[in-house]
Amino acid sequence: MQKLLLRRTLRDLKANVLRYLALFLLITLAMFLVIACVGSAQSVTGTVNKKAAANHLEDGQFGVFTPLKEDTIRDLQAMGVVLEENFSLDFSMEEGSTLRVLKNRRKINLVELETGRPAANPNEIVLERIYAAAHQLTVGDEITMSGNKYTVTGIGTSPDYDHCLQNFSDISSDGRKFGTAFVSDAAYRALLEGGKMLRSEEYRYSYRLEEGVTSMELKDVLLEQTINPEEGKDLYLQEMTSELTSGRNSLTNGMKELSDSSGKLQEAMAELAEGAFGLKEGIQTVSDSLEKLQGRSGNLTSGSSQVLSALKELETASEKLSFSTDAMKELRSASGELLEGMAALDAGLQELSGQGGEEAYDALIRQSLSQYNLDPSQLSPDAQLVLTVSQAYLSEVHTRLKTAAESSSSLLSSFQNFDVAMDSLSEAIEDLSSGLVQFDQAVSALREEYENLDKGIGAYTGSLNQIYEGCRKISDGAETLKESAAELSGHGEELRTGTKDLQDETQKLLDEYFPVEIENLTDFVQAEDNPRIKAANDDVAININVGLAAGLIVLILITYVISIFVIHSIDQESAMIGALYALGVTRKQLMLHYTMLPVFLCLFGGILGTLLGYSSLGRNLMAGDTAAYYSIPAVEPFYHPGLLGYGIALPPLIAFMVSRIMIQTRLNRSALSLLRKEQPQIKANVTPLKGLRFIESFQLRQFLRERKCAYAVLAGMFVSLLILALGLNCLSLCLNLQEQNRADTQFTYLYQYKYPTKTVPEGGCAAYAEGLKKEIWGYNMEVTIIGLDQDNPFFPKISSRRKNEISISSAVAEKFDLTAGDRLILSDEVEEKEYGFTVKEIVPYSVGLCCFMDLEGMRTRFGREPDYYNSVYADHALDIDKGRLVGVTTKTDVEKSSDIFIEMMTPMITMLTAVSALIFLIVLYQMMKVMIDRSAGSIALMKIFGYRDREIRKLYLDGNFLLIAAGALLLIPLAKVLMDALYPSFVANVACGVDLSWPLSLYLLVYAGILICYLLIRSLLMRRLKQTTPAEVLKDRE
Amino acid sequence: MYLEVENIKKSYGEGGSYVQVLRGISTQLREGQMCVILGPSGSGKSTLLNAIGGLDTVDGGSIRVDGKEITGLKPDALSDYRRDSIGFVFQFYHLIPNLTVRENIEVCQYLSPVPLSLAELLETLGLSSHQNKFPAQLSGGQQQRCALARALVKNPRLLLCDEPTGALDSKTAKEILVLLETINQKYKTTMLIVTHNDAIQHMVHKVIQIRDGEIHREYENEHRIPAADLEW
Repeated sequence: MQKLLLRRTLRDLKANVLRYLALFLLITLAMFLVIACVGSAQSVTGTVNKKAAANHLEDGQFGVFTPLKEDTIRDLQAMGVVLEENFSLDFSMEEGSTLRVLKNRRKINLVELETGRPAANPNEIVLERIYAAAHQLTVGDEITMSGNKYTVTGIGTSPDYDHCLQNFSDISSDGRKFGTAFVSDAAYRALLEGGKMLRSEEYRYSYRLEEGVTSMELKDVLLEQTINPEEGKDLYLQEMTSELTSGRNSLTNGMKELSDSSGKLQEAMAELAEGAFGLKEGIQTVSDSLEKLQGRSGNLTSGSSQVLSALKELETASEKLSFSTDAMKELRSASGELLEGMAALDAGLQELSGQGGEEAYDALIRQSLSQYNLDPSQLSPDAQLVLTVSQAYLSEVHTRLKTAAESSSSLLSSFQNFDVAMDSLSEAIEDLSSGLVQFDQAVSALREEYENLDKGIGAYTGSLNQIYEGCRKISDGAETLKESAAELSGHGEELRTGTKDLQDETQKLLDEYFPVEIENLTDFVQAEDNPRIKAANDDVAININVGLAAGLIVLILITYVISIFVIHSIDQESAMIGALYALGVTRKQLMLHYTMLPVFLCLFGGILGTLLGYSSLGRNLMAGDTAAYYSIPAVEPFYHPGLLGYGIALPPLIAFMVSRIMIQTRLNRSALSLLRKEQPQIKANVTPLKGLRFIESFQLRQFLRERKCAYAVLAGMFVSLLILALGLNCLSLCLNLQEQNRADTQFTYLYQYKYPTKTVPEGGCAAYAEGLKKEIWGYNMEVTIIGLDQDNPFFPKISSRRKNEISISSAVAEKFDLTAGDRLILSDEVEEKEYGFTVKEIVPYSVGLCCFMDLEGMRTRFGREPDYYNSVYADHALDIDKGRLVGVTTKTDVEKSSDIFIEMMTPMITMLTAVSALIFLIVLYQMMKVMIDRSAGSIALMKIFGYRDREIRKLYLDGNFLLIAAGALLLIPLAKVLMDALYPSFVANVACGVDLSWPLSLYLLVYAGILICYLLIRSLLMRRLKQTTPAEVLKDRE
Repeated sequence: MYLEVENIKKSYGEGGSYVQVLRGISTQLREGQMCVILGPSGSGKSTLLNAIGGLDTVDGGSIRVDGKEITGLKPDALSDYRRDSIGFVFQFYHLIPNLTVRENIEVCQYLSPVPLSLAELLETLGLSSHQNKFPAQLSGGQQQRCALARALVKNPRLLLCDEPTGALDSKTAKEILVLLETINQKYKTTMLIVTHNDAIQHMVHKVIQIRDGEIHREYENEHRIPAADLEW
């Protein structure tokens, strides 16, 4: 019988090959998804862990200012620490990249060679895999470094540089810009001696711990190691130590000065005592002299009064000497007038005497006569007589006038001399008068001045008395001063001794609490905190979480689908089962028959899916980008028994259990019931559908009848949407991060200092950054607090001012689910301290996990100097010595780090989207096919009645459109909400915000995609509808 | 003649399994006549009925319904033929289980531009009180009445009944036959009934007996007995 049933099973498989193929494909796909996702992640993790163990991955590493001393190394080895130098030199390569050269390793972090051999000769080099690939270098190629040529002898990886970050603080690695290389000891020495490295040699040690020793114990020992500042070869180290010891030196010097000054003070006090004694003596002498002076100042006072009285009399007499000068002035005036009159008379006389004489008179007569045309000779004699007498008279008169004129001139000259004498007299009189006035004034002035002198003499004698009194008091004070100075001199000695003691004690205090030696340890990083180590494991951890979750969801769906299949099969074959029952076939045999196909389908589907997942196809699909980004050895397939069981055993086991339960339920019916194909009784109180048109009513009835399939479709849709939401959340997270990082990164350069300068470089904006930790979902995430000046243009404005207030970025708020007013506790694992802050506000900033504080408040909180900074942001490149810096981050680096997310996630996003669509298509096809198959009879009946295909489609398929359309409207947001709630745990190890928002267009795209899937399946199933003939009904006739 | 069947032939299989089911059957039926096709199992009566109903093709011959040749029609045209002219009643009712009585009837009411009154039909067939019940809640007779109502609601001119009483007890079967008779009288519906039940031949206008794919005997009843008076 079993053989017969097996044959029948095979025929059933052949007859329904499409249906079973779809189920097989669904299982294969689901297991491929799980195994590819989880298996590749486990393969990456397994390979990394295996190789890490094989290559003696360090337990940690630390940096020092100066190499450890031999005895220290011996001590550490004695306590169970295996140490290996991990010194390095950074060189700038021709194409602009930086190559970090390390010595060949012997004990820890051994290089895993992918090809070639280790560098043995001085001109040989082994390159890190990603760097070599990025620069297209292979074994046998030559590279030039530090002016020398090196032959590449090998390409490989080292477990301490899985994530090949140049600095611990770097966000992402880039093989084009940075890589590691390994050379022989001799080659390393030559490079070191060449001195062409970018900065001084970096002293680092890797360590492995033997049982019983802990990293903290090692750290404690290392913290005790100090260096002499002068031992450090690094200029910036020396500058730093100089700055560090400057305060201590200032204090020591100050104490010395205080001590010296105390000695001087003591000496000065002794001198003061002596001086005070001399002063007392001198003051006594002065006092005595004053006493004598006082006695003699009485005569001076009376003498002065007599002089003053005499002066007053002289003043009165002087006033009497004054007279008027008016008479003299009148006399002078009269003299002047007399002189003028005399001058006028003289002038008249001179003129008169000058007017002719005889010749002039004769000429005049002749002129007058000529006017009448008369000639004197022609005149009558009388007339001529008269004329002659007149001429004689006139001559006499003229002579006399000339005499008078001559006298007048003489007189005028006398008058003029008189007038000159008058002038001199007048001036003399004026001078005399003026002299008298001046004399009078001088006498008055003398009297007044003497009055003052007299008063002064009075005051002098009064003051002399006071001076005497004062001197007497000074004398008394000097006595006291003398005594006090003597006493002070004694205390000065005590002060000198005390100050010397203070100096000695201060020195002891400084030596004890501020030792001049500087800790040699610069940093201490345990392997689990090292971002370079096993970073790929963290990266693929999300794949394991996602894969297992997605696999579980899909398995639940498969379970449901299988149950529908089984029910459908049994219902379809109810009569046959009833007949077999009636014929004596046992339930067990039937159970085996009906469970066989789904179990084997699931088994083979699971095996195929597992094989495909573990194949290079699956590994490369999921781990290809991880291997291309992280410097890890070639990923080997890693078969985890649990996952193998998950992939191979779980599907058939589920199929068996579900089939068994379903079949058992169905086979519990009697043979007759099965023969009669009795349907389960529908409850009588089913509400008739009123108010609906026939088509809607029929579609609703059809939906109610096929509700299990409908639920399966909805479940399939939901599962697909969850997987799709997972993929699209990955995408949206990456895209949102990319967009926000670009928008939020306002700076062009970020310089992180190891040795900051005293002053901030020009053009830069100083900030203070501290990296602290906060745990979430089991991952210890680094949260960076950045102290900002209020005018820092590269970050959002913050209102936090106090030292316990903090402004958190939107990324931190999303990651840790914080809001304003919450308490944020961050821990400093190195210092083993916890810092509590009150969240003041949330500011929009997406890059990394950052919080912001007021710069001053942060300096205070973390006990830093008021001008401390360790980061400088700038919008252009600054000229900063590379030796001072820990690292430089550019805007491009930040943008690239977000681009890397997308590059890394693209295969997974693509796969999840494709798998999601396939699952939905398969489930939709399967379930709609089941619906149609179950309705084949009634569809055939409809055809008998004359229904056309279009109408049948409307009745049997289009009702599903409403289901799909409405279901998608409900399930898309539901799946999104659920995945949004789950997703943060999947990316718990990623240091970024979790902005999973989708644009509206993406929702619409998903919705449209679902409808397109439905239309695709509908068009496929229309063929099946058309193939259904009325014969389906007629077959059942008997 | 409303139905003219002329020399139709039908065979299945090839080689050794070749079976000729209909071997040149010819007959005619007037409009409004009730006709019963009798014959043993495998005689070809159902095949003939299916061929007339456009559910099955024939290898040769002609079938004309109301003057329209239906052999050789394409599926869509056959579908329209069934939709416009034919009503079917099956032995096992073939009601759609998830539809109520009323809804099952509406399935065919939807197809007719001028259907009969559903209420009247329910009343005529005694289903008014059961109209909101599902088939599983009905007895066999009630289910067959429902199937009858479904077939009649679109007022077909030709009603094809394949063993309409085959799954019923005699009392219920008689009730169904009475109903068929009533409907024939009321709506003048032409009826072709395939049955094993010889008694039915007395209530119809015409009887066709088939054996081995051929008409063995064909005659019209001159003295029909009302269905209610039939006994078997």
